[in-house]
Amino acid sequence: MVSGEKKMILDEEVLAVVIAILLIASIIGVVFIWRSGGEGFTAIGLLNENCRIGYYPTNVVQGQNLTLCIFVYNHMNKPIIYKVIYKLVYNSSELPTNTTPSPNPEIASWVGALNNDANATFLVSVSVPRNESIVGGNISLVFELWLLDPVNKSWIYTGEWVNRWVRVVE
Amino acid sequence: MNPVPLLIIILLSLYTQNPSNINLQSDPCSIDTLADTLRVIEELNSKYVDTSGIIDSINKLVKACSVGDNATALYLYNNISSTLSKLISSADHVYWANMISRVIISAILLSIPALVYLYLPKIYLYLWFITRRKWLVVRRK
Repeated sequence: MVSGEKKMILDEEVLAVVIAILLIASIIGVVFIWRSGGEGFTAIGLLNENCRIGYYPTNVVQGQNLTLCIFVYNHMNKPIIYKVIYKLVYNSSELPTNTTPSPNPEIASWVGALNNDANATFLVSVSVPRNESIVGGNISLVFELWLLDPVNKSWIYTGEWVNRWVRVVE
Repeated sequence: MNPVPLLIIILLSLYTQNPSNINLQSDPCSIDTLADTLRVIEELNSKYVDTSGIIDSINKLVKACSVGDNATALYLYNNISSTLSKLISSADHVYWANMISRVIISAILLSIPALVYLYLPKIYLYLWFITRRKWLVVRRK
């Protein structure tokens, strides 16, 4: 370029950069249009009686009802019918794992249906049975999340659970 | 020959061959009924049919079942069945409309770089000329 000669703003190099940026943006846009929802998962959360995190009960009187709040979230990329099962666990070995539910019997359950990317928060009233042998000890209030499998027509344990250890008092 | 019986047989056979048809069972709270209904909803959902209204009804249905309110459950189930039947009939149309709109939007997005490559220099030069066409060229002294 001769000294003093003005270069046009839109020369070949600038155009190439503009085209490259536009091409990448277009491809990203197309990927967003055709992408699936990603890996599916569900979630369960335990909240206090005001449906907030924290300030959970630490002591519970035997035979007394306790109000807690359950949060369920669906990101399975499809609608679900869920069941939250309440169990009482007296020692750590009876707690559920990521693959197996607690062996203890179901005390109560709550069911519902959720669309993809939807959540439900609901109050539950759970009872601690009257049992003198557990007074003074700790028990765990366990909530397991199960889904209805439409193919096998049965409830499937999701591997997701929440719990809260409380001391039983008279 | 009376064509009505033949027509009924054909319609019945078409109805039973459609895998999307829900099984009308007597107990709306049985796990089989709920699973069949959920399977149909999943199928509709995979065809991009909006099933949010149905899921709200299913939510009410399972809650009615859990408290033993069979009358409400049966009423809700009948409503859900009739709504599902309507959605099933329009599912293929919704699916193809969705696919076509996606293809069109993708084609538009992918054509933007090519269009810019072809027309941006021309538009730029045209505008450059428009803004300078009243200029006078004089020899430098």
